[in-house]
Amino acid sequence: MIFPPSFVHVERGGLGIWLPVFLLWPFVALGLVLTVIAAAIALLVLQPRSLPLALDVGVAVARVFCATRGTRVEAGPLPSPFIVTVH
Amino acid sequence: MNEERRRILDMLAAGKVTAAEADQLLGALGDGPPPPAATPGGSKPANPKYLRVLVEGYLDDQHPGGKVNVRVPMDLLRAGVKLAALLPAGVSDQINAALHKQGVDIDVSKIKPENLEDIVEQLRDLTVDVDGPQGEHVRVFCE
Repeated sequence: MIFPPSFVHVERGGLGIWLPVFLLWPFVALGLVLTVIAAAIALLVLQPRSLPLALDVGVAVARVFCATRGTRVEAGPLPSPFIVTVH
Repeated sequence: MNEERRRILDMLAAGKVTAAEADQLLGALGDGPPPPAATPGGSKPANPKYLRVLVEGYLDDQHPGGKVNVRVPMDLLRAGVKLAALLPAGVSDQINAALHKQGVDIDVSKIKPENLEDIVEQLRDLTVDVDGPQGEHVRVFCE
């Protein structure tokens, strides 16, 4: 079972803030469901053979989003670079 | 522990070098990434979990002493390759052309999910270490 990112930690100059990304999960899920339904209806009308491919792409995009957990980007001038970590 | 470090420590244990000399030799090896832990059943190190890109020193004129440190999970690479495999041919051609413009000659349509573990396997042993002309130091490795 894989989960989407729950928190994003942003830090600059020793000051850090935790962003509760998990609060957005219901909205993202709702948007995803609506997009899938709209895409499925459009594909059924316009190009029925592309429907499985579109579903595969949707799943793959969701997996990429979930796999961002653990990503860390630290950039900027020393000694206080800008740090973003996805948890 | 890699071979060079083990040899230096053996020399220290045998009394062939002093502790200070061993320290100098270990320092000369650099503070590279820690070697991956060995798997219980063999000598192969464990699979890497992250790809790290480190740039230290000169970044641009405004940041002569800057730093860039990017850690990318291997799972993200796996998911990205699976997504790329689903891209239509026309999209792959556009990506290839954009990469070629940046000096990267890679055909993304030839990277298949079934080859992915081979790629990760090769990345395990990969370390890129580059010193730039303006004092910047670039390191790419897996951990």
